[in-house]
Amino acid sequence: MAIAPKKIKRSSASLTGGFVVGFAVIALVLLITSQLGVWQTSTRWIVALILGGVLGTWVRIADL
Amino acid sequence: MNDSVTQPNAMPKRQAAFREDFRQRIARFYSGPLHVLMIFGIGIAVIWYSVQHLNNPPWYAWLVIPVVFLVANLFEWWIHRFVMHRPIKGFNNFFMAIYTRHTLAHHQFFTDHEPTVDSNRDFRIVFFPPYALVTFILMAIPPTWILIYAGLPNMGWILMMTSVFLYLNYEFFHYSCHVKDDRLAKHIPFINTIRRHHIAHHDVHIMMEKNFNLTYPFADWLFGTSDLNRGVLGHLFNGYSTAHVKQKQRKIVGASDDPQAGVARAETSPP
Repeated sequence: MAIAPKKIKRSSASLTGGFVVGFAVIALVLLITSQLGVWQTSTRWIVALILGGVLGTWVRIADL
Repeated sequence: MNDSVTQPNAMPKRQAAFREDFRQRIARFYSGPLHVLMIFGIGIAVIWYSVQHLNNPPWYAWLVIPVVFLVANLFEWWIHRFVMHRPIKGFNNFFMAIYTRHTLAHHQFFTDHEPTVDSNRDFRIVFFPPYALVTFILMAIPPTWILIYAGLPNMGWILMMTSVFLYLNYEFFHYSCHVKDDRLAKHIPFINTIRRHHIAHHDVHIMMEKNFNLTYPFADWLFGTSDLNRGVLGHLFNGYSTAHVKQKQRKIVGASDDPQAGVARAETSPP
């Protein structure tokens, strides 16, 4: 009989950390695209929100 | 130079059991390469952004670099000795979480008997989580801001880029200490030094007292917490040599499988 995998409760640190990383990535993308002068403001925000959201969520689900 | 910096014994049962349990607890969506990419991606982006703001820095602006090197070296030594290896209660368990993650997890996973990773999923316990880097950047913002608004913007941006560079330096050197294959690492100055220095620190007999630097063992030399008995240049360029290891060191525990590992007991001579 196969052994059932242990149920792991994610740490609260990864939740806080996910938000911290998400906001940091949003800020960095906005600063860098502004420095480079690429894209319109709305495009910068969309890219920043997507990248920040994805990476912040990954920190949470990877339980870092 | 010796060929190995690890103890010749097999992995202790306690360590093997801890590794097995820890690996089962790593989240399914965890990726070692993505973890590393995120840390170095954020770090390099901040360095790039800082460099863009440099505007013909005068010669004295570059003096910020050795100052940041010194402060970062002392900070790395202090946080490793007094936070990562000391259970500090309060502060919403912030410091206790760091102690647990480092002393009770990292030091159980890696010992001087087996200090290396087996796969990139083990990066989970080698690299800090990415929000540690963000916290470090936030800590560097006030002095950067003060320098910029004091009319020294070049010094401010050099401070920021040097701080982040040293964080990445820490992560890279620490990984070099735990990488499996040392054919390259053992020949690279500074990296070979810190690899021996750090693997010696993973000996439970000395981990609470010796070898707290993870980049350049300057503060360990300065405060006498190194396991070596030699001068500052000898410390920095020691490589794998064990010729200058102190013969009499504080004994903390009896064996790697001792459940009281890490608990100070008495001053004794080595066997």
